[in-house]
Amino acid sequence: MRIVLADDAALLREGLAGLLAAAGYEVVAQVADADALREEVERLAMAGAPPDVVVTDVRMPPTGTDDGLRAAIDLRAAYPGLPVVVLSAYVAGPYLRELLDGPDAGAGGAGYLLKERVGRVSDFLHSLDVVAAGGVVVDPEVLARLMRAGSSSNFAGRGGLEPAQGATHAADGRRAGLADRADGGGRDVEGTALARLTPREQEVLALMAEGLSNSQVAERLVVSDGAVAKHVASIFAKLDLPPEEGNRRVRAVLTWLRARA
Amino acid sequence: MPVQADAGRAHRWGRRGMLVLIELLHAVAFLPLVVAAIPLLLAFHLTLPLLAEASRGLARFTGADAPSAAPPGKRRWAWLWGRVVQADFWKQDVPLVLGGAVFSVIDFFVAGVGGIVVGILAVGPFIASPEQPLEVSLRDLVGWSYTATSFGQVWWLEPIALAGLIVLLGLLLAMGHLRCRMTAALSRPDAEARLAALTAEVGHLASGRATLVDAFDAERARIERELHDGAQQRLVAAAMHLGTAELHAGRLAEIDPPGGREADAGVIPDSAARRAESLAALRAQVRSAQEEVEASLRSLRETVHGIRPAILTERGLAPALQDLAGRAPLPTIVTVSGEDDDLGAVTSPVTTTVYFAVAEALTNAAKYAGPTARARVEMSVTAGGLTVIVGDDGAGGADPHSPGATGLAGMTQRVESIGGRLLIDSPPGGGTRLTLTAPLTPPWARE
Repeated sequence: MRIVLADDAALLREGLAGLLAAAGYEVVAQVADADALREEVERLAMAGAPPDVVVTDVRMPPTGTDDGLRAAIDLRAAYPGLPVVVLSAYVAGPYLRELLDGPDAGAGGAGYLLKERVGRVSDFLHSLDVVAAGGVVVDPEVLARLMRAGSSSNFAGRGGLEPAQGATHAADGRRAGLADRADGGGRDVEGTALARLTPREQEVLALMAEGLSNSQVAERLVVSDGAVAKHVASIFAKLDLPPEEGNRRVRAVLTWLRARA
Repeated sequence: MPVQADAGRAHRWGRRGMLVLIELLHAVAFLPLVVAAIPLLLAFHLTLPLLAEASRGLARFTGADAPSAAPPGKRRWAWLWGRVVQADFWKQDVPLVLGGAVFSVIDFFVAGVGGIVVGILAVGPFIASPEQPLEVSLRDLVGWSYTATSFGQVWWLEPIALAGLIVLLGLLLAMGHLRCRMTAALSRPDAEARLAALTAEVGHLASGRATLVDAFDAERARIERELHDGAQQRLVAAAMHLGTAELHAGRLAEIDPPGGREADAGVIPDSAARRAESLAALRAQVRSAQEEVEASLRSLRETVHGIRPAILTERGLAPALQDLAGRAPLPTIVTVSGEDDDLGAVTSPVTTTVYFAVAEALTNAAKYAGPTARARVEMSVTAGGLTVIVGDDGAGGADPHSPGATGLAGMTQRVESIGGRLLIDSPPGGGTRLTLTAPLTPPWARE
């Protein structure tokens, strides 16, 4: 697998490159800032050999803020289907949502992992494989937080404290993604669909978001493969994903994440 | 305390004596001053402020509140030369010196004429003799006169002299008090100057506060950056090395031990068993080290987040509050309303203060509102300012005025530091509702 690696800390970049090389992956380029990342991917794509996965840090030069994330979002928009894994030091729902909110978000794999996850080498390599194959992988810790945030949306739905009337906006440049969750009603629709899932089904869906296969989910929940398959089919049905829909797993996970992140 | 009372009385008498002495001094210096008046008048632009300063110094010496007109820390000569063009020269120094001169004239006559009369009255009886008879005459007033030739005949003049002396000293004391009052009144900077000085002081304080807040913000950013670039990265590198080590240990376990064939034959040599055991122990150790590193990274991440959440810096207040809901220890929903332009206009000290106030309010709600409580955060932003309401449906009863409510008091203070207000409404059993209002830009940061 051919990988482009972007991280401004040489220590981590070299370490990660060594780790990937040891595992039999090919690191075709290493860059230290967001602009170089954009250029490098463009160069490879022009040469007719785009990378199989782009792995990038969030915080990078030139501004030292979220340049890596912005570059990842731009690359996903410019090269639909380009799998991107974002390594982050932050558990931040808004970052994840922006990453997954592209115009054709279902088309390519995406991952949002906390940096320390690279220490679990086999899990990390598995995540790379899932993303390269077009799947979505989100860090379990981020998911845990999103599930907590999600439970608050549920209680809003029960009508304990009515949400205020009026538009919801985010404060900055890329606000479109956040704004449409209230304006467009997308979040509400997805939220309602999700509300139909049983707690067990939500649990299964969250594990799917971690990038686990059915048998891995079965192992984690200590149930049979058949039981997981039944839950998954039920999830697809409740989320309105007919069998002819391509890559239903990713779509189900994206629906879940869009409603929560 | 009698001793203290005595001390106070002695002090008062000392001051009175001083006042009288000073008035006497003025009387004595009257003629020389009049003689010197011509050159003094010619150089009035220098002598008047000096005389005024001297009067103020004397007044201060007797305990009056008569601050020097010369600004502290500046060169005295420059001040003296420039004094004549200042309004205070004409408003304070000139009346002070002229008034002082009038007082001195009065002193001169009171002390001079009164002194002579008292002196004659006191000395007269002692020098009265047949050769030098003393004539006490009030002929012009009541047509009465008396000629004495011995002390015995006019001894009663002595008490009159004493009474005269007391009256004389009393007059001088009154003059002294009046002079002190006048000097003090003509030494205080006038209201306008005072207002200007206070305004300058307020501006100074405001810019000081702005500098302090900026410095605090910069310090937060520095700490956050250093933790992120330093400890966090090294820990991630350590996790990576441990991961690689675990990978190698795993591979090692897969390789057949040297004694593999014997194992097949059912005879496991001690060395192979020990090797397998050591490998398993090694992998377990590496895994637990990895867990430690991950736990450190988790706590470090929370610390960094607590110092300055990246999402707040990079995405602004609204997404940061949304994110906060996911971290809140109790179910929380966040709603934000307002125009994008207004949301974007919220300045950094306000976003930081509001964010941490809401975070603290949610922590408080989780702590006191009860296990089943839920919270909501409503923010609305207009061009005129922002309002954030943090409400919970818990037990209520929070009292910002109770001595234990240091958290609420601190929060109120921090909100006030950005020119905002915090209202706390917490009826017992009715939930708690904090209403925070603030301008988009703190008053001290405005141009």
